[in-house]
Amino acid sequence: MDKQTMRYFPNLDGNAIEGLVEQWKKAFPAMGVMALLPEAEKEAVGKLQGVFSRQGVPLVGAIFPALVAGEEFRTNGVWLLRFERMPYAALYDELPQAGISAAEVAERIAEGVRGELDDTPDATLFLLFDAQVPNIGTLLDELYLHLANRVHYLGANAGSETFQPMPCLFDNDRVVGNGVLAMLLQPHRGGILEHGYGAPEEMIYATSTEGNRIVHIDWRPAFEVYRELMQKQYGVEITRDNFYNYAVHFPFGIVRANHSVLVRIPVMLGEDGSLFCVGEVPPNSLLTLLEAPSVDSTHTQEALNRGLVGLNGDIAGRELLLFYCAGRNMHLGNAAATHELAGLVRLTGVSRLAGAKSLGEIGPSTVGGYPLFHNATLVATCL
Amino acid sequence: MPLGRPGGQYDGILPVLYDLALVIGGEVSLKPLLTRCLQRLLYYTSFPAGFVCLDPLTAGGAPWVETRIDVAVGDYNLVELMGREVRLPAALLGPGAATDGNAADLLSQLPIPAGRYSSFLRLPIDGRGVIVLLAPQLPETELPVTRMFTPVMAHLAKAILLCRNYDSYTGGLIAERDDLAEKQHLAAKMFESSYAGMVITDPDGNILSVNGAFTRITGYSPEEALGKNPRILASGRHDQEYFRLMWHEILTNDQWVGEIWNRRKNGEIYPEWLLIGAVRDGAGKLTNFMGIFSDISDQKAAEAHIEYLVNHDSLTGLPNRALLRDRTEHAIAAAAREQREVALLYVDIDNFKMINDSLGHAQGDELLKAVADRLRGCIREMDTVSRQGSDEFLVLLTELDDGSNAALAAAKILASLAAPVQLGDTALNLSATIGISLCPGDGKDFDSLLKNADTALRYGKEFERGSYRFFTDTMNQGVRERFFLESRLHGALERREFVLHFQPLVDFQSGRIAGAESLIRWNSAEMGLISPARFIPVAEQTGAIVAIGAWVLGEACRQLAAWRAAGLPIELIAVNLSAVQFTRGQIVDTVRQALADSGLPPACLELEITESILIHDTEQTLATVRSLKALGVRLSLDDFGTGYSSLSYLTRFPVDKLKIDQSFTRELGTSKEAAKIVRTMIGLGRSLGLETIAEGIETAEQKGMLQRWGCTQAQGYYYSRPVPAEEFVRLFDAEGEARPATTTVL
Repeated sequence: MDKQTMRYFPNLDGNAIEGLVEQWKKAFPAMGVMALLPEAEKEAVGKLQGVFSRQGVPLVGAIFPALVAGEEFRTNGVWLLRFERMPYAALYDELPQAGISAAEVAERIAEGVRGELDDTPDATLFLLFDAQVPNIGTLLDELYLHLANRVHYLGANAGSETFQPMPCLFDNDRVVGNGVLAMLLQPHRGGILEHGYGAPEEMIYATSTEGNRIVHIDWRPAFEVYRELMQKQYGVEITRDNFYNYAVHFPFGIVRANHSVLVRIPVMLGEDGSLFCVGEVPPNSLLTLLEAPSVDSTHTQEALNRGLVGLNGDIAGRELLLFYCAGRNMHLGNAAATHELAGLVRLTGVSRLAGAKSLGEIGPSTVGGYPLFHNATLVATCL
Repeated sequence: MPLGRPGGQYDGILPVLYDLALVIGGEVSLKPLLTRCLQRLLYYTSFPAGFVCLDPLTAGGAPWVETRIDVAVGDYNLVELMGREVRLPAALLGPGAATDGNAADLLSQLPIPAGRYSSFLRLPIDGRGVIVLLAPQLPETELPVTRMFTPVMAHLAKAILLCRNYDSYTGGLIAERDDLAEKQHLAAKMFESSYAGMVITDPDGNILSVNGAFTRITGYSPEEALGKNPRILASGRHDQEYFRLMWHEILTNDQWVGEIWNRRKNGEIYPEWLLIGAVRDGAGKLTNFMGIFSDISDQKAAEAHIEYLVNHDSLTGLPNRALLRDRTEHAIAAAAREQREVALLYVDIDNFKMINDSLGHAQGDELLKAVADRLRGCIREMDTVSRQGSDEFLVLLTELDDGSNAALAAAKILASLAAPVQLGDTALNLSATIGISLCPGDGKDFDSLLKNADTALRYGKEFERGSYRFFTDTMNQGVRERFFLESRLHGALERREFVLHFQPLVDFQSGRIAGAESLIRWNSAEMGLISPARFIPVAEQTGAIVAIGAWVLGEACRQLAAWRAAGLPIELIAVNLSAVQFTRGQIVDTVRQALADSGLPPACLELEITESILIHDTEQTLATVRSLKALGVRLSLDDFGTGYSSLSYLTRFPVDKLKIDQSFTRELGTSKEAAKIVRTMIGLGRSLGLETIAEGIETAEQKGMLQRWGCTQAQGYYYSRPVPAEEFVRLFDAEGEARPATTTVL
């Protein structure tokens, strides 16, 4: 029997994959698989769906900018993550975006989950969103109203690193966009999320926002203030032309009362001087301009390891699922990000590190806490 | 960074209160009002769960309260109990605002699985009920959470009243079958039991009815009030125009809402939140006016307190940065009018962290208070001392004739702080460093002055602690350049902008090239060739040196392996290590990896470490050096003679070679002192069985002296400058002997 639940195929060899699935199914007749694909292999979804349909094995999955395989980022291949018994999974597409509809969507998702909760005290609602969904924070707020602390919350955003729309969530039959894949893992004790960004002291207020768009900061057009701050704090002249080169290195932090900072990476500049971020920015948020070089990678790795051991006991030799923010990778540079992966493997002693480069991450700021939408983080869990 | 960090002390409170006020103001129905408000409180405080119980709680000393959970968020069991009657421990529900991080026993009495929570924050809703937030552990915060929400809770209490009225009204419309008499009875009951004061008048303003809360708030009994005009409450604080506008709005829109100052029967003036509505019959004819009001004295007091908190540092009572900013802007404006100057002094206590760690935080706080007192004693009445945070203070000097006055003040501060501070039995001697910026010369607004004073302070810290230093433009230029380099260093590895050059290491005895030192070069696409002396310190400060250093090691090993495979007679590659790689990188693993990837025998790799690494003569440094040695690599002590040159390094650390710094080599032939030192170093190496290499050899004379004295290896422009790999190969003649460089090589 194959004890290895995570398998990476460097190329999409249909026969090899089908052979493994067949072998797995013999050992675990009720099994199911979550597949992670890099954007460059998106055309292979159909092939995977064919294999799993032929074998009668449930499949869900998502397409990310790249995969995390071992200690590096890969743009080829596929990860197959096996569940001995396929957990509850529901794929929702084309989510409506208005506020009232977010409440309805959350109610639908919660309704489905509630019916599947068993007596296990620890359960995790694992969510893979299309990064194009603009109101993920609101959806999480609404989900928390329904499911509260009955589940742990964990997840990541899939999609294209170009932020262009791309159907990126799939099951055996469909490939959908603008949606969410919700899975209920039980028993499961959640995961750990860390970013390790430090924040300077100067604070500003997002006085007007719309979803993931910061319209005004301190009552002035957001870009104007961002430009001034960059000039003042870092001596850098930001223009519309060089905005994209700098923004990833100087994200905003939403400051909260308990020392935690939610990172928001500006990714687009509106004609009116507003800034589009990955993730919603609530109105009147207290913002700070995060200092790029202050990412404390060692601290991040140590905090992740500590958290994971706290949740699962000794994790040496186990398999670890990791989502690594694409923005963080861009900011640190691939070499440092790869170094971070290697450091994490070394520190945790895990036998296998699987995962993907993500476009936003979901997790609590404290164990069992309120689910929040983050950027620039590492989120990890033992499946 | 917490919202309430000292320095920007409580800077975050007002937007939080503002947001909550907007959330509250945006709801018209009770349940969404409570839900959204609770959600936002959880968000801001990081408590994961909470619930709201409405209606005055009549515990009467009983240990339990029969009540109802009106709204719950975050706890699945409590969410399921929403709207149901429950029995809750009285000690949890009141009285007053409170926070408790050690309440596991009390919270185990909640109707949820025991042991889930041990901490709570209780916020009374101004007599309307209570909000309780729950957490397994008390979330860390520096905000005054039990006090800061008081104004919001007062606002929420009013909103609850209005939402109930709205729900009641809409509910009434839906349930028209309800018995009118019953509704009137209910209305009468609501009127009497309302926590808000209520008054009903006829169209002419004669009071027809008041409730119990009216009497409680104003002091007038119903008998005293009935038949009178509400003008009996007028405070005299508002002019006729105020009332004209109020009545215009009531008669135009049938409603007016706002704050008003009124007078109680005992003469006391108090603020109230008042809603006046015009009541009309079915034909639209005005029949009555109705006033609903609440006493907001407590809220006003809380707001005043918050105002103080927002502007002052809670430890020292000094103005904080927000207030200082305001005063500075005023001072700058005044100085511009009077053609005078303003100075901002950034004062930082030297080694405060060490003092704080050794004395404990309580004593550290006492010390900061003492420093604050001394600073106050050094300034004039028109100046301001402010605490920035931790051990940093700002002093604003106004109305200066010129900058020399700032120097005098700075000297006075340094002298004042130098006198011993008595803390219990301990007398502490302090020193401080001060950075000074002047307006208008160094900036015409607070932010520029602060930034430049900070820059001056950093320079002072680096070059001369315990002194004061004025800002100069050169400092700013240094900061800008550093940042620019920092931003370009990002991704330089990926862009393949680094290359290695190699300089031969020549064996004196055989005259052959024994090895090469690898030296990094950065050829930036944007800035061209950048000297390592410029970018290495920046890479070290940002930590980028770890990745860059790893690349150098890998590339150097790969290159030597390639040369050896191609038959080049070269046995050694030397690579410089940075102190940062020692402390932050996994240097032993990195070296092991470079050797494994290249297949190079460990003895072919020589790591050059500086005295600055060994100066931290810790067990960890020793263990790392030994681990490196255990890999089989060679170790060379770089820049020997320039630092402490302690003999103890040579005995404790297993180095193979001493590298004589080029500053000594260059002076050979011109300085007898240098010659003596170099001979001593060579002798020292020989007596300890270590090789010696002299770098920076430029002339035949220098080469000859070193050879005579028994130096084992040579390096310098005399043989070759550092060259790219392909050029390095051409340095070997048929026999592999090193030749003096020709002018073309130089």
